[in-house]
Amino acid sequence: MQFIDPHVHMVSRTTDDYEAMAAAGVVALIEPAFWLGQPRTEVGSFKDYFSTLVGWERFRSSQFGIRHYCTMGLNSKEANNEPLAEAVMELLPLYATKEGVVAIGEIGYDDQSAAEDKYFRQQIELALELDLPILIHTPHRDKKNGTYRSMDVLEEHGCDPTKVIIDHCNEETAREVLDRGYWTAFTIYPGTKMGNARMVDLMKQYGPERIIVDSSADWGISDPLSVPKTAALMLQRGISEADVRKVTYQNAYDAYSQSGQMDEAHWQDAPEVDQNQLFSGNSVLRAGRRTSEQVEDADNIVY
Amino acid sequence: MNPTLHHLLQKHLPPKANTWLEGKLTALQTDFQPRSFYLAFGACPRFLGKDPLTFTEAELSSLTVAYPNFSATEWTTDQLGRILLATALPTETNVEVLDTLFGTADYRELIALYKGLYFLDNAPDFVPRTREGLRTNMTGVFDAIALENPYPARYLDEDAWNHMVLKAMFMQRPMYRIYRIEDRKNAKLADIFLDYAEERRSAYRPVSPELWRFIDGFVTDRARTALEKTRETGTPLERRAVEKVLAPDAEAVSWNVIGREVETALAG
Repeated sequence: MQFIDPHVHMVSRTTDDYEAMAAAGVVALIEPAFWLGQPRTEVGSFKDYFSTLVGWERFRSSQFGIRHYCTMGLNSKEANNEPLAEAVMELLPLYATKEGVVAIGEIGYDDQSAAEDKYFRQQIELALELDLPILIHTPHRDKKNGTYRSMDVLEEHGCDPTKVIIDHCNEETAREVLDRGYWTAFTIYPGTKMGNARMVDLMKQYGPERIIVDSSADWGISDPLSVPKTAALMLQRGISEADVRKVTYQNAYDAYSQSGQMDEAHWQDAPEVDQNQLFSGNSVLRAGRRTSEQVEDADNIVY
Repeated sequence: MNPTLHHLLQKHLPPKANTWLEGKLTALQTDFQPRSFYLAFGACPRFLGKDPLTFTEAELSSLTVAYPNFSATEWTTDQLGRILLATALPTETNVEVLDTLFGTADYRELIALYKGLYFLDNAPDFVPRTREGLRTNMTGVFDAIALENPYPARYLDEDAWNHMVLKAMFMQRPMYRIYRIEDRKNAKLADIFLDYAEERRSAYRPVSPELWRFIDGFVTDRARTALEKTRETGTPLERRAVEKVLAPDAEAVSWNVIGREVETALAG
């Protein structure tokens, strides 16, 4: 099967992860702009991070035959540093219109502070102006209220729920998010978010419509193979292949291709994946073990 | 603005794309705002498409006057649109305006920018930018500067040129596709490549047959020893390459043919 992981932070992952994802059938992924585990203190750090998302990381991914897209946004945690947030807001329009940017995100609430609210609203307006989908990060703490409040604010600004993905949903928030018409995303992330057995139960309860599965794998203990592994468990527990495909490929594709920046032809025809660029002569696969047995021997490395 | 490029794009773009591009060019010329330039530059794929353009022989020869070796690579509508916009910038400020753009550009934008530098009226002002660009590890971006592009041969000094050529070898790029590679060979480069060949041998790593091209014409005693050793122990293609240096023969295959064979072997 082919999969899309619509939420994964590849800047924190290794080439082993890329290899494993490609081998497991991941053909495309979306890397939302987020925080890096510790707060940035300079706007230049954001600029370089955004440039990495549309440049180096996209290239790194392509070398493994996986098509890389991203979302652009100021995350809620770092929105609390207001002078910095102002500078990032000035930077955003420059990146939001780049090729392969499929949404404004991940935005929303962390502590639900006044500053978070301010920049959340400004970014909703930016998404509306550019006619881009929105990816919402729902908070870990006070999740239910944070999730409902996010939807209230989106609706106050006149957003169309079919252009919004509400992520990190759980058993407590799923019903309301679905009922209000949003794409409802679940993150299979051990410990803090969903487990894949719980995800199977949710599928049995709600069916496949508007449900999206992602990994949100990042710098924490997480699994970039969450999407294919959850798909395998779903199949094993009797969910039809058509339904599994919807939640691990098609729904994410339908939601994000509304940006006009994502097209199946990108990975099906793969015109930009040049085998010569893929397997030889670059710093990622540097004289790599993938090139040939010969090089392996020549490097005197025993695998 | 580059008139040749402008004229040919007008001829080849569909009416809607043409209207869009003309609007942006007029805006740039009547009331120049960096922000509107950045937005127009970014939006080129959306409004001009990304298809490769096909030019007639006559068109190609006019383009070759403005840009030597133009016909060696494929050019897409968005690429040439972006380059035309860049040539429309006032030369007094284009280094500063383009520096900001380079600093925030995505993969495809970087390729268009580096391929297009030669078209700028003050192209020599972009040598520091080109040297910065060559530090990339993104193969496509490196290729946009190093392969078939007339900029490095014309504007890079010997040290910068040598670094580019060395890095191309490190990245296993097809050396024969570096524009004017033969003309800009030099003794210093030959010496560095000899060191490199020795380093590869010590590490039991293969040496590209194309490396000997850079020794050809600079055969010192040390070079002769390395060449003779390769003649004894090298692969058939390496032997043909070193033979070409040791015993020049008008009938021998050209370095470009050897380069193409190396490229085919790597791709396979």
